[in-house]
Order: sequence, then structure tokens, then C-alpha cells
Amino acid sequence: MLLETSNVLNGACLTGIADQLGEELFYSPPSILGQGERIAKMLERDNLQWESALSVEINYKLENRSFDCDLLLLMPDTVISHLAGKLDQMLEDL
Amino acid sequence: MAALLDDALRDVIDRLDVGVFVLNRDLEVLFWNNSMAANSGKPVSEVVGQKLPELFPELPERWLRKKVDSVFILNNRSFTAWEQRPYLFRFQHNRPVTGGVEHMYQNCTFNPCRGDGDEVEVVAVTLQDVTDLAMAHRALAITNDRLEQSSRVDGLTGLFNRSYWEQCLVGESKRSKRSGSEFALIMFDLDHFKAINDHYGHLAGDEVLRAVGQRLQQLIRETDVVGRYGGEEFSVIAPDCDVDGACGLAERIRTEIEALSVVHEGLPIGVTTSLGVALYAAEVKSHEALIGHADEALYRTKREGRNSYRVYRSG
Repeated sequence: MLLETSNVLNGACLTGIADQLGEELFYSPPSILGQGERIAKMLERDNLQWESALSVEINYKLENRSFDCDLLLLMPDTVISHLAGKLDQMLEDL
Repeated sequence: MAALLDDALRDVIDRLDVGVFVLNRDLEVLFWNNSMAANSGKPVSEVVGQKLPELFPELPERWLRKKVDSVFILNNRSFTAWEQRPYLFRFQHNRPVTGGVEHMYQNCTFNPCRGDGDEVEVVAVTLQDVTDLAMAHRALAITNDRLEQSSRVDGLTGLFNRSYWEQCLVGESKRSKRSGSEFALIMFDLDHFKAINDHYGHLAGDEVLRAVGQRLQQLIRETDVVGRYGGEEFSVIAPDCDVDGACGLAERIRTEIEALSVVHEGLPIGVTTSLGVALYAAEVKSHEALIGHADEALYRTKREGRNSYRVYRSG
């Protein structure tokens, strides 16, 4: 259920972003990193290979339902430079 | 050229070591590769044009329909992982050594395929055999369990070791603070244990410790936590226990240890114990303080003649 829901949310969000950037995305099956744990603990520096990352937080809520979650996008350095290139290109095209 | 490439690709997909099949909205099979045919025992000719739930009545049809519908509607890939759903089709696996596993573990991906327009027209499903991975995971989990178990236990007595026992004490203190429930701590050591070691030898001493450990495990409630605190020192955490209950338990431990008959090389060794009892209540500041209280009661027992117990009195 958790995987199913997050897959739908992630998929919709990522496909949307990819469409706007004109990119084709590859993604692997979702997996559960941890449950009932503090996110800071899961993202402890020792567990990550990245020096720094760009983080984007998107909040989802369903009206009149008790559904509330955050979608956290983390982009490592290499992706950011690629993204910046894409954005520059888009701005030039305007 | 294009036709040749198409043929080549089709051939590759057909021979892939991964199951590939294509469904339309009505769950009708449009494509079925060799891997699917080999594993299911149903050749292409029997399958193509038929509806998947009719071919495989054991499939969870409602779930499958929902899954495929979501891919059509959202134009979004969807997955099944062996951790949540061990398999989609109940296939045999090809491992010679089974380790008790009777079916193939599978990871599946449902890919939306658009035609010329924006609408999703078919869903292509890939099915990967992850039996090896699943079994390796299982073996790892079992090993981790064993490791965790052995890192908690004192090898000689079979009781919990000090570090794990202390974790339990910290946990129990927190629980007690939250819920306001009482619990008891009993610390005790074997009287004149050094004399046993000196007189009968260290092997005899070990045997006594082992016997005490065994007896204690039979004696306590399932919720009690009994550990080896140090050399010949033991400790019991008794949750939801008032002073009467704790005294009852302390006395039972005392009499049972007194009644133990350890025989080493034909010689019976008698052993007695001195105990200290302390209760965890609101006024106790920390778990360290509680250990201090039980220790204090234990020393009083020793001063006042051993083979007995005392309850900690404040002030």
C-alpha cells in the first residue's frame, strides 16, 4: 500500500518534471528504506555517497481525508549541473 | 533494414532470461515471450488472444485489474516487489538447491506503452526471477537474528549480558515514567563465591554459575529480564511488580539457589545468595540511581548475615 501510493505520487511528479524538461526518465522499482524512523537518521552522512544535494520538499494533502505526506526530492551534485544546463537552455529559448 | 532490426529485437526479447508479456485493457494477452512460455508451460499459441485471468485462475484478478488500470489511466509505471508480493505467477524456480523454497520469487514492472497518440494503448509487463536474491536476503536475516541473539547473551550462563540487560533497564525506566507503573529491580550475588573458586577450582565455579543461570531462567516470569551483571552478580528486572511481589520473587530466588545441588567431580557444592530489592517509583531519578538503591540494600543484606534479602529504604 505504502509502495503503491508513493509510486503513484512519485511517478506523477517525476513524469511531469521530465515532460517539462523534455527528458526521458529511467527509474528503478521503489523500495522502503525505513519505517517509523526519523528521516535525519536514515540520511545520516555515513549512509550517503553524496557530498551535497539539492532537496525539494513537496507536501501532499487530501481534503476531507486524513492523508498527509511529504515528497522529498534529493538531487546529487552531478544531476544539479545537468539540471542547470537544461534550465539555461530553456531560458535562452524563451 | 528496419524490418531486420525489428526481427532481431523481437528475437532478443523472445530469448531474454526475463519474462515479457503485453496486455491490453481487457487483460487480453498480445505478446508472450519464450521465458513466459517455458516457465508457465503454456505456449504462445495457447495464450495469445486469451484473457490472462482465464488462463491463470489463481491470479488475484481484482488486484491485477486495478494494477493494470492504474497504469493505463496514469500513464505511470507500476511495480511489484518480492518483499511485498513474493510472486505474480506461481512458477517453479530453477535452483538445484532449494533451501525449502518451492516457488520462484519475482519482481515485476508494468510499463505503459503509448501508440501514436497520448493514450496508453497496451501495458508491457516484465517479470524477473529474483529467487537467488530473496534466498540470500532470507539467509542474511536469519544470520542477523542469530548474531543479535548471541550479542545479547552471556555465553556461560545463558542469561542476558550486562549491556543488553542495561538497555532493558533504561527502556523499562522510560516506560515506567510514561505510564506511572512500578517495577522492581533485584540485584544479588553468590555468597563467598571466591571461596568456591579457591577451594574447588574455577571450573567448579563456572558450573555453579551455569546452574544458577539455568535455575533463574525457569524461575522468572516471561516478562522479567534476568541478566548476569558481573562475575557472580545477577540482576532481575520485574515489570509491573510492587514491593510484595518483589519480596516474594527475592525469597523464591533465595530458596531455589539454596536448594541447588551442584555436583563437581563427585563433590556437592552448596551455594547461597544475598539479595537487594529496590522499587522504581516517581521519586527515583534515574536507572543508575535505582541500581545504586538495589546495591545498597544488597550490602545491608551482606552486613546483616547473608543468605537473605533486604528492601531499599530511602533516607
